[in-house]
Amino acid sequence: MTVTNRSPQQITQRLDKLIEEIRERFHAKMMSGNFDAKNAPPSDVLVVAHGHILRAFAARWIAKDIADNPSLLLEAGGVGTLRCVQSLIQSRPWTDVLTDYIVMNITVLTSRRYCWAVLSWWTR
Amino acid sequence: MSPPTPRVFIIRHGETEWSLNGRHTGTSDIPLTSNGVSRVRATGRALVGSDRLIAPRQLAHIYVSPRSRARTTLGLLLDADTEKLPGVGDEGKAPEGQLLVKGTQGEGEMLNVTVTEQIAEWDYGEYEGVTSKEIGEKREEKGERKWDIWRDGCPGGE
Repeated sequence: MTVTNRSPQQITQRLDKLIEEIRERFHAKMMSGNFDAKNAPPSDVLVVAHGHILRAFAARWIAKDIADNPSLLLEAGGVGTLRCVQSLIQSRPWTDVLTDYIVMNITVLTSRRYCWAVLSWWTR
Repeated sequence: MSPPTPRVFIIRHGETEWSLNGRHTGTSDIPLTSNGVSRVRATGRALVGSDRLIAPRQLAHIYVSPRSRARTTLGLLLDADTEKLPGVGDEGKAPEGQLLVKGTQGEGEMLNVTVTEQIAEWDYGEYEGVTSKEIGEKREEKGERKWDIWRDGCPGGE
């Protein structure tokens, strides 16, 4: 698949498409209220990729302009968790989304221990 | 009881020689270092399992970059063989394959995987393989402003 890849606009476009697919295929049905804990289908999605693109992905997840450059580093082998507490299917201003919904967990593995840092995005 | 909240786990591939010395790695296919391999494996043991953060049974889907460092990282994390995953498909369609995850209790999960350029790294163009310091020097020579990838993107090589 030829995917162009050099400008922030191109990056934003392709990530938005991927995020839309993830939400439509795997997350939307969980927001419908039709499931409970017993009958819910799997709804977690794993994305294994690279430093810059995943930072941009996280920014677009909360509808943030990637040029606002979150100073959040994902180190090699690092794991982050993005989640939605309520539906993000309707487009909402990112400030609302930030206030209500998004928690980012960064896991850093240090020898045999791992520590959790819970970050709120862009609370400025 | 309400259903679990859907999540996306984003995982950066393990350490490579270029991630260590700061050379921007986009389209180049650089492998993991042995340290990178062992750390990712340890992360998988700590975080992946039916009683851990990432429960394979709860994974609806996996997306992975076509680069070998990402595919290897995926395999190490889930203790699965990624050799047979499809390569990037024809234009317009990202190939989907399946991955057998060997569970810690012997349970095997077949998970759906999409290998896609949509989540490949930035194409660094002229900055491929170049450190941030060298990029700064190059740009200064040309009288360009300080590089901010999020704002400027990457200059092409064609």
